[in-house]
Amino acid sequence: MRPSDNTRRRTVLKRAGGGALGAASLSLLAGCADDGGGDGDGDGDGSGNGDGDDGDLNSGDVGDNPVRIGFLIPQTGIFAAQGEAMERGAETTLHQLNEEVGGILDRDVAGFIEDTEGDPGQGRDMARRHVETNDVDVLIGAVSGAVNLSIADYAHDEGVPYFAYGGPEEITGSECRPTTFRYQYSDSQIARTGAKWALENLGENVWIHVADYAFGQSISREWKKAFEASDLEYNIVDETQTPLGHDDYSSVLSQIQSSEADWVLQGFSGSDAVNFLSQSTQFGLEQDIMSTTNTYRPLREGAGSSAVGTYTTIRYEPTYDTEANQTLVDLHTELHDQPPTDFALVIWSSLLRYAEAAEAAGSVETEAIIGELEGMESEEPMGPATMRECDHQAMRKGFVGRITEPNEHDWPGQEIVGELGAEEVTRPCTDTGCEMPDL
Amino acid sequence: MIASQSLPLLAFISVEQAAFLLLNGLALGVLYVLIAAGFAVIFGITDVLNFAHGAFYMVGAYLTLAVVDATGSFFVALIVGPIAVAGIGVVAERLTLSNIYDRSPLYHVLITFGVLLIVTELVEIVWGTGTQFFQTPELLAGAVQVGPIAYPKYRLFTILAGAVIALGTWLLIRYSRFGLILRAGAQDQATARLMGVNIKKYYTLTFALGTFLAAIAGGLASPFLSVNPEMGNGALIIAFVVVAIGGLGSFAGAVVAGLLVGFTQAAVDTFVPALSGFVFYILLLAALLIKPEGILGDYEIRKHAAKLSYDERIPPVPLTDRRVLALLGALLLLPVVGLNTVMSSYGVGLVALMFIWGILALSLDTVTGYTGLISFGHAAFYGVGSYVVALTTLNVTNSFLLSMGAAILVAASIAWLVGAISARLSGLYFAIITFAIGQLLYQMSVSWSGLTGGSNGLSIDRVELLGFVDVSDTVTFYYLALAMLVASYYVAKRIMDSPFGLQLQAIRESERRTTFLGYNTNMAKRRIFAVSGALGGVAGGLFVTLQTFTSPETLFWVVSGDALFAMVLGGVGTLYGPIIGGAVLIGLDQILTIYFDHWRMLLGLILIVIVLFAPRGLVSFYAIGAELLRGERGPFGSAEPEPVEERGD
Repeated sequence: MRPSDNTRRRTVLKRAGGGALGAASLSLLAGCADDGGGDGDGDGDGSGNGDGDDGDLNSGDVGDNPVRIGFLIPQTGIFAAQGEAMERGAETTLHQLNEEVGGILDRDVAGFIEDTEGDPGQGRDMARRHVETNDVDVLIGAVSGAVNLSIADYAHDEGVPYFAYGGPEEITGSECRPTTFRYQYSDSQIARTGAKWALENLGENVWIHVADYAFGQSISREWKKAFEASDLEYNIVDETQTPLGHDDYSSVLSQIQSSEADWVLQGFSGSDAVNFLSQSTQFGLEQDIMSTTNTYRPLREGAGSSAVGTYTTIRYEPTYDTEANQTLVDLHTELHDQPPTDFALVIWSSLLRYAEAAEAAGSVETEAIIGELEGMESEEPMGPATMRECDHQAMRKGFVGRITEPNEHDWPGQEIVGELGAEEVTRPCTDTGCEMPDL
Repeated sequence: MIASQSLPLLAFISVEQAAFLLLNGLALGVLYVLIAAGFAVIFGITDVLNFAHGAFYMVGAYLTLAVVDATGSFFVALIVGPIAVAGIGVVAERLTLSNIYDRSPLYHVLITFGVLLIVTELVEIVWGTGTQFFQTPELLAGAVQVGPIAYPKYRLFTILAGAVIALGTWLLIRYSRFGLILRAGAQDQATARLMGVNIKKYYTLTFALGTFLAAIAGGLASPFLSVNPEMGNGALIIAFVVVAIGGLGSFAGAVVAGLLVGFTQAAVDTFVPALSGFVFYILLLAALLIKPEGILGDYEIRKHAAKLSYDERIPPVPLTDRRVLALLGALLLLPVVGLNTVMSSYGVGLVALMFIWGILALSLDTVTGYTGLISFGHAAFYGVGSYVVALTTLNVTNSFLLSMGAAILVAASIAWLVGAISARLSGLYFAIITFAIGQLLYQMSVSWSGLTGGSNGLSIDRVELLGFVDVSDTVTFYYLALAMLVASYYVAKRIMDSPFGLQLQAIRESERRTTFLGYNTNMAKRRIFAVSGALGGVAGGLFVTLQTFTSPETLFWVVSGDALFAMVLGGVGTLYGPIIGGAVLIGLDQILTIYFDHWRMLLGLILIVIVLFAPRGLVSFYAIGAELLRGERGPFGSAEPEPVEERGD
């Protein structure tokens, strides 16, 4: 059950089927801002099984003139599971802003959710609905890279700040926009983190195996660039691809098995990755496996013990010891009865820095916000971050981890085995291809 | 001898590679045989293409996993889980198929599609949508040395277990009394009945055997293929392809074809990985072109199994009918009066989407409802139409007229080709080949990302009608879609009223008699398929104009299933019924999603009810109602089509 989706559909239907129109009914969209009560009970079950009547993100009564935040979340479609994690992060962050920070500019903060369905056209439509009918001050979210790009473009047209979640280079590269900011790692930051560490620690002979679609192709491209940028010796033994949704990896595994490769770069996610991992365990693959995705919890749950011992770049680790992380973990666990994820982290960092920028600027006016955000330095849950002026990409430390046997939970854990500096993992401004357009 | 024969091969690959290739191919092949076996058994005996086969395979995996969790023993689970699934299969068969074996295969396809929807949603309710971890049993974990290579123990076990199960099934059918009766029933139901055999009971047992085999394949596959609600899709495609290549209804054919496909897949994965996603479809097309009846297909499709016939003709309503004109008038006024009073522009777009689905279902009705060819691949034309409009808009011109013209042309050409390849195949082969072509195009749209944008799809900005009218505007689009719907209906009705249309309906009733009358039926089938493809292309082209976005989802086989559903829901073989069906399906989708998360389960239920109780769909309600008012028939009059099998040709 996805409550806010219900609300959205129901509201739409009211409008299609005879409800009143105009500003009053529009505020109903995605759970209305002044329908207090919300889920302030703090017992979100986390599995999304709440009853359907509550699309409200707001944890308490919000005042007359709240700062309005438009969340773009895939509540249905193939990214629905990620959407749930994102929604939990959104609730946690709103709670923090309203209850702990004391709002933005002494105003309460109200959240609105629209469902992107993981579809770029729909994402753009929903961004429009946020701006035109929910009257939001800032946009945030979207999982799929294509959706991020289509929203970023729209947000710039409308002059609304947008915090992206997706990884594609273009978001802070050739498609950079003055209104777009990204606290999430870019694909090249991930690649530079993993590539350098793996060449130094796993060996110089690598076999690249990716799924033949946008995500896999991007991994292959960025990691090859990162190998080059590392100035280390490397040798690509072979590069192979299987179609998305391929289920038998015996052929490629037997080729890797009998090759001189030291490690394999695994460029896919979801059930493809689960199959690959369980089959490589059955084959007793001697090569190490390096991935960018095994850090994701649903994948660790699906692959179980066959993921143990593989390496992965890490986007977020709840046990990482910083003060900021402790705050995030405590609140998220209190509200949702489970530790936060990377989705929560990025929403948390983005919105808390947005609030800070608004306070410093004394307004939520877009130009002032941009001015404050550019170059902003902050202490984030995973360490210090700087929002770089040249491309609006956050510079953060990169982490590499190893998947470990389950201890605290039913699914395997992860331990951090490598840390690289922000300068080291971020490409220089001159390489980004970003020519920042005017606002 | 063997050594010297394999020498040329060994010149290119090492002994290790050859050993891997052999074992990989064998393991895959045996798995494919197992997946297809249950499907082949059910089809061979009952003539039913069981679309729920993949769903039972998936439930097999889940129930096996559940029993492993409860008992701790994989080997116990591998027997108990599938037996439970067979029980579910029996219940499903008794409630659905067992009542309609004598009907057209169109209804078999639809009712099993309904079962598939329900079963899949039930699994999601119980276990969620995520991937489940299935631990390889301790005893079979890791690899073991086989000659020159180390090979996973579990795969060796799969090869062995699969071979034993396949052999056992073959012996059962070949040498047991049960098998004897099954084969007798398959050859001649009437005679079997005369001999005192309760044939319905044996059909149920056949279904139990088929679902048991599906489930055991699912259980065996789980430790190396992941367990999730999507896994059934792949299995269904495998079953289709293997059975079609082997020869419909031939168990031995399924075994040979399964191994052939497995070895080919392993070899292609190794040597030409770029083609790895296409192996199934290329093999299938090759088999159907070279030997259409399949490798071991001595089987002849029983006449009644391929026919669609009605005892009651419901003629299409003319456009000048007062009720039609009143409805059109209301639809013309709707945005003018309704927008900003009773509906938003979102609502207007929704009604326009209903028009689009009306056109798609109408296009399907021309080949299926009128000509009797069951197409399970209309997504191909819908998707192609949407991609052609998107690509033309992005790369050539944003003129709607030109891009739609291109879409019609391309979709019609592809449809003509499909017709040319498959027209000589009758009935169920037609369903299979259209399905395969649809999936082939789907796979291409995912893989060929340079052109299609791959899984990210394609976004377009705006489309213009004549250089100045922006048809991406919702209200303008609404009128455009309505006009195209009316025009499509007009064209389709004119065709069906013409001598050519009568010829098509004659083909549906009896292709052989039509041929005897001197008509070139293959040519007629190619032509109507081209027309139908063009209409499907129109629907797809309109869809991308409305959404300003298209993705491989438009080519996925579920779209074809939904189109069939819409057609039958409204009223197959009436032209206007499918339009109503398309609109109602979109409406149901929107309404049900508000109140139910698992609304596709309700759709499945509605589908089954319609097939069982109102096979002529919603339009028959109107006709029955009218006749009841005039007192011309009892409440359960002639809505049920009479069995078609008894009509000698």
